[in-house]
Amino acid sequence: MAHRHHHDRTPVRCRPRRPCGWASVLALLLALAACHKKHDQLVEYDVICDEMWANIDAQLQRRYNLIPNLVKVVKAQVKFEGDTLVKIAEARASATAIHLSGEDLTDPAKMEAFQQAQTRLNGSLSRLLVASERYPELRGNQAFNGLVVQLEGTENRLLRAREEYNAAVRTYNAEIRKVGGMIINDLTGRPFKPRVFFTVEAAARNAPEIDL
Amino acid sequence: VRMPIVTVMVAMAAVVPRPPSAEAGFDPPKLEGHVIDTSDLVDDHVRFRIGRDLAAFRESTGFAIVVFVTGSLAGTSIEDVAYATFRAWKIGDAGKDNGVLLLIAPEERKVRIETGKGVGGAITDLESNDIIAEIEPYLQVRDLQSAIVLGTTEIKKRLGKEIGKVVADPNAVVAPAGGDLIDETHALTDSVRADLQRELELFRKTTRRPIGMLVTGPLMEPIAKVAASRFKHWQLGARNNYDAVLLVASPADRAFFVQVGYGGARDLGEARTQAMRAKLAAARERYDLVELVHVACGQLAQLLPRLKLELPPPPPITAEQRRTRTIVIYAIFGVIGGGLLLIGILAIVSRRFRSFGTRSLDVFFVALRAVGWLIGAGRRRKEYEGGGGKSGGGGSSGDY
Repeated sequence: MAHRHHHDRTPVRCRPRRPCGWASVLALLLALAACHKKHDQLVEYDVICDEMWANIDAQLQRRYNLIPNLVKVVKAQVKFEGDTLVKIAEARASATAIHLSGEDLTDPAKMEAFQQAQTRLNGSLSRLLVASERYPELRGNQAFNGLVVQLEGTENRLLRAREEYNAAVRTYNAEIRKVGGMIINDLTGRPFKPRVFFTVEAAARNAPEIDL
Repeated sequence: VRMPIVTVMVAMAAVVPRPPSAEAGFDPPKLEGHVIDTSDLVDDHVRFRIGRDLAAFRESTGFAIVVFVTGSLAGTSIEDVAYATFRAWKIGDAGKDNGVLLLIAPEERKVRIETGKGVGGAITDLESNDIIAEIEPYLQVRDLQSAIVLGTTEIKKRLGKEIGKVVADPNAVVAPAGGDLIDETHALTDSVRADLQRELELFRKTTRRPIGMLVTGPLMEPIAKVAASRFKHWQLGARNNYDAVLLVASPADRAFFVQVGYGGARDLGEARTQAMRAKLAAARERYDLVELVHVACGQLAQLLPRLKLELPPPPPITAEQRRTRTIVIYAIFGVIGGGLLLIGILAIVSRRFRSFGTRSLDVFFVALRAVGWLIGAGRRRKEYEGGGGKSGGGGSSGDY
């Protein structure tokens, strides 16, 4: 009996368990590999977003640099009525005061403040361009026209940088909301936070075109 | 059996990524050369010559310039169309982003230069604006050929400068070797001389017409006669002074005369000459030479029609091209000669065996057709299909 029992037990215990063990190890490895791949993909999307943001940043900086020159030329050429020039300097100062990078881009409150500052700057820039329409001596001024051309170019580059950033954000946000991305995000302690879109309209687009 | 195929096709349509389509309805055509025209306003030979010139420029410098004359912007802004087209065509090399797109929309009377991310330093937005300002007068008179020639030349010049290469301008007008301002009185001060020369240079640059000026002493004969005889012998520029202008002034007699070559005179007509005379009257009263030349040049630039700019000269044939051409010519003559020989032999043989039919002729024609196809394949080879270049929205636009 004992002999038979012994004879019986070995195949029952060992044969199904050993494959079971291998399979689980293999499954774990596969899952790890998949997780690793998914994680790397998320990191890559995140980095692309950062790159695109750097583009926006560069164009914004370019615009900040153009504005004082524009104001200087306008001041030298004409006596502007009202406080258009003061407002534009204020708007620029408040816009340059907010500089976003890294973590800030996932913070809706910070992004909101930033976008508001940008919108205000765009508004005062548009007003300046509209007001300058009334001064023929400005429209004939070469330095002013050159600056307006550069401003228009910057606005267009900014528009493209914004489109590219938003497209990258869309991909990234969708990826971390998908099941795979969600699991990785939860497993690794939520380092991937959804980013906020950059939705400020360009200034030159809304302003009436200047007859060069 | 039919069902799964349909499902597979539907599934594939869903999976295959669609090319990035333009914003709001503009669909760029396929890129198959350096000049793409969907407006049908560009002559074939212009497209061919400029395309070949831009291909040669790309091969020698790496910069890819594409000209796109669109029939319509489909209600989209020219900035969006240029960006979408640049994206779809991927002008320039991947990583270098060294492409430039010159987009002209004759229907909407708009023009734009879109620069790749890598050439924003060689052609700044301000410089693209300058180029557009230069070609706009040609676009206004619907001279697309000159606009494209001038636009591509100016773009090439700036890109060439970036890598230290001087680009030849086939339409550049230079001052004549003997000097463009001859002062026989020796009474002009240096500053007046410089001012006059600047005016002449400006006229040359804006109109691309040769111009010269003669300041002479007291007149021995009517000023018109002096001007005509000097004009004949003064080699002002190309084409036997046909399009040239000569200004003659005699401060001693307070006389001023504008001599225009036959080409310009024919276009100027009596009415326009009168108009110019009226404008000049006040300056002639004061007799300030610089003012006189300024008014005369301004009037002439306005009243004289724009000269059509010449197409770029064909690039020199390389040794490799010459070899290929030789091989093709030998192949054609070989096939034709061999075929005729074969037919002749077969005809002789068949007279003996009475079996010469249409089949041998067929073989000959098939062979001829094959050679024709090979030649055609060389011709059909696409000039340019884009690299992997990207645009960041740089450049400038204009209305005309």
